[in-house]
Amino acid sequence: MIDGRVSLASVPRRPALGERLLLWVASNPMLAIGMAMLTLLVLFTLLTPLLVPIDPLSISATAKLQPPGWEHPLGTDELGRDQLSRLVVGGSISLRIAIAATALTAVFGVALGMVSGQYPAIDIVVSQISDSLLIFPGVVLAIMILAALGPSELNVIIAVFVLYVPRVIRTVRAAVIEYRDADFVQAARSLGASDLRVLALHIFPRAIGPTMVQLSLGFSSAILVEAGLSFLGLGAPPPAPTWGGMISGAREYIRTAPWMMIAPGAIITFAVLSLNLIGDGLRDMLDPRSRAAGQ
Amino acid sequence: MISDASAVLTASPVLDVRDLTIAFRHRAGPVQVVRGVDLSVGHGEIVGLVGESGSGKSIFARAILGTLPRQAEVLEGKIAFSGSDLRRVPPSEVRQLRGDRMALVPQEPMTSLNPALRIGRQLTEVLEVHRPEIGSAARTARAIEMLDLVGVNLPGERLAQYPHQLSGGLRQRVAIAMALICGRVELLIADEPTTALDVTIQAQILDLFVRLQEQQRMSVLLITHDLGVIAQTAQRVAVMYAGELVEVAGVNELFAMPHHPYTRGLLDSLPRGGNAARKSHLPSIEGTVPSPAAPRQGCAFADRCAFRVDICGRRAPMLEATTSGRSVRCHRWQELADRFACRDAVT
Amino acid sequence: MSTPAPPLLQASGLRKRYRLRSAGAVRQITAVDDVSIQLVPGQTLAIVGESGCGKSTLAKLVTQLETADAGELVFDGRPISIRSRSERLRFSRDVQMVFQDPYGSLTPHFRVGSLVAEPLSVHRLASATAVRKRVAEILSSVGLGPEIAGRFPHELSGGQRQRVSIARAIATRPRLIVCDEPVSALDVSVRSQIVNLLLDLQRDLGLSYLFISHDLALVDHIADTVCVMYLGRIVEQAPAAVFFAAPRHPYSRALMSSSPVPDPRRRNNAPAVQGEVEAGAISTGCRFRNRCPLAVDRCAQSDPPLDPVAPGHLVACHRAEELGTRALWTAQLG
Repeated sequence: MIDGRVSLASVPRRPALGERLLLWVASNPMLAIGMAMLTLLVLFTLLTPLLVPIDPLSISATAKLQPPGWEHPLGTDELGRDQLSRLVVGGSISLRIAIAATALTAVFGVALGMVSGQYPAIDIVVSQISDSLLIFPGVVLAIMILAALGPSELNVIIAVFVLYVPRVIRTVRAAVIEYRDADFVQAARSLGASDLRVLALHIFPRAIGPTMVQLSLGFSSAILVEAGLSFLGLGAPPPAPTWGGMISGAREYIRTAPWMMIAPGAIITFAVLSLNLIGDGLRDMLDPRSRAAGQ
Repeated sequence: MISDASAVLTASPVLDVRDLTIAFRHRAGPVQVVRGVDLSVGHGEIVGLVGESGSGKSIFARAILGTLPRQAEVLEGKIAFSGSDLRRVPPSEVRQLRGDRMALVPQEPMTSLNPALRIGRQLTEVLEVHRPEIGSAARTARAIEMLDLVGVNLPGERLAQYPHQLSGGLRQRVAIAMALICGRVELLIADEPTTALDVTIQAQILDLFVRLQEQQRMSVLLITHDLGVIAQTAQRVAVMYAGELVEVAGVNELFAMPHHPYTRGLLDSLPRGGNAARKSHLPSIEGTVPSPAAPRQGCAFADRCAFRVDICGRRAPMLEATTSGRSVRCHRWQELADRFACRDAVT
Repeated sequence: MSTPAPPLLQASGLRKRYRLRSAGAVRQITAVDDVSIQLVPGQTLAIVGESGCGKSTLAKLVTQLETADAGELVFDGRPISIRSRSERLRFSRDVQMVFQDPYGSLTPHFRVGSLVAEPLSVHRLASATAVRKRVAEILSSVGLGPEIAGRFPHELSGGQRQRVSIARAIATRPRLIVCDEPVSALDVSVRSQIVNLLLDLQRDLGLSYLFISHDLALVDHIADTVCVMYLGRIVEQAPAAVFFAAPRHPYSRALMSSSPVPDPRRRNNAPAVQGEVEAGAISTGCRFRNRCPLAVDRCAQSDPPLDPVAPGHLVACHRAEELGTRALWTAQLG
């Protein structure tokens, strides 16, 4: 190994793109499936309006509570609005809220978590606040925030952010505390690396796995919380279609028109599952040691 | 010393391991970590088992104790303890032996002692399991007696303490007391018992081992990577490399005239100090220990051996008996022994 | 001896206290207590002692990983103040460290190439294009091929990892490397390879080593000067040849006779000292006196100062003068 002889025969030829893709999928199956599902979901929300151009808000007295059929693939609701169009538009609202809330959570959660893990003086303040937020049951806290701020898309984002940022802070902080005295961190410091460099390059990557898991759980919960809030009438105000709002509206018709609830319920499950798969897949992929152990 | 060693061999040994092969189950097939090891420990004998990490020495010990990890299994061989083959005895009976007639002293008692239980409780529990006829007052008395025997000061007060309140040296003494408390130990297996300790404490613990072994007439299998520890305590030495025994000999013979190139390489690589040699290159064995999963053809040490010839890469040498109870696994041992005998005679 | 070269590093009066919380009470442990050392360019100073003697803390004080509570560091004639980042950076370029555990001291998600390139980028020592070439050079100077740059630490053997650690330490072309037990976690057959590498690098690059170890035989092989520490203090300091020929302090003597000699013909009959190191057990007098076979009344009354008994040979023992004569040793210690 040390003599450095590398015979040409031992250098593997670079596999073709398709072959490499297959290899990657085979070694990260959960991540691949999760990403495929998420891609499908995004394509669905982007492409369906082109294929089925029906206004989600148009009311039709003659076509109310129709079961799935040729004209309305997923049926209609009590006001005769096309369920498929509402699902698509609602999806874009739900995903937008979830993406915005998760992005905010990621940025602030990681920054605050790293700082509070590294500097005890800041930690006292940050941990007190984030711990006290964790005491409240999630939905109750979200309801309180929306009751105070009023229902709007932005306020739903804020509520989801406040709900999930403490978990990310705690995850990142725990990793920083676990590794801040580790030998490899001491070694990096002794090389002259600055606090920021040590935090960003040596410590934070150790936390990416658990943070990604938290964020993907946060993302799927954001969809759920948004749906829950809409269900309670605290989400994006009507007539904007949201998944939660659709389920809420379907409550009264569960016996006569079950499709009204099944379609949004299924798509919420699908979205949440895809993100959980991505979270687990990322965790496996980002830790080279767990990967090595698995092979 | 030679007569000593052979006398030990003629009596029926406490432990007699024959052709023991242990493998780890692995996706790509079983990986052999111990390969055909023959080793016996006579009555009242301290046998040192030397090897580097990954040599298989600790797995070997766990196989004897019947505490192999779940993914490991004994493929073949015989483990005879006081005449009975432990592989044919039901596990419940092997469990009965453990802690009673054979016992383990681990490397780091901080992890083997239960951190939540007081020392006294842990010592008396062994008696509860193996000597239920002893009453509770007598158990406590026995615990104090044992702590005193292994040189723990204030033994009565220690009973109420927790492991973390003791220093490393004291914890190791408690672990030894625990191993001996039943009073019927025939075989003590010590796996790197002083590796976690400081040198002055190591000297105390090794002295304790030798003293106890004489007093209690028990046999000790001392597993270590430290040739100094072996030289100071063992009577006979087995050298393990990549899952195989490569050399077995009396301690004086081994250190005076190692037959296997690996043993010789290890001994030569130790810094001996002294002004003449200061800052000079130490002789060293190039390369690294082969992975147990790597395919093996010929001698396991061939790649790193300074005396390698063609045959070493083609045919695996057998563990050959030499004169005076020694054995060695090397195609060229005879030739090398003659050569080094000449060299030593000249210098 | 010619005129002594000016020291590369001079530490004087270093002191470090830690607060320990145990069972509700806060105790103060003085890990390093009034320690002064001098490092000569191109030479090795070994610090010997058992766990708890403060040798690892001393290493951290010298590399500025920890800040001393008192004392002064002078490197190459300049006093070191760690207030400014640029000055700290300059210091860390000259003074690097190799850690004991090659498994823990390499960031697990970095490839070897990035690990070795890191000191270069922290100190801006190579342009982005030159980094690869420089990394290959550094790897080859520690006996590793360039193909290893693409590997992760967990794919390497213990010896290879320690070579990578050493490669990182020499990347900035430092003048002093603090080695904290650099071979004690390695397999016996690999140790001598790493020791030889350290010796080669010292000779080729003119490095000074502050070598922390508990292995006396190894120290005897590589050190120019030896310091023995006990409970935060230096108890003996001497040129290696003098020290190993005739140690004066009873603790040095105990360490030496406790080290297991790999020769069955030279077995120790009885342990040299009883008892264990206990921090805080002794508040007045000599800290070693509760374990010392030669302790007398005077040892309980005052703490012996580190005084010279011969040029370059310092001993902190009230009975150092008497102990220079062999008779007392043989009478009391055998």
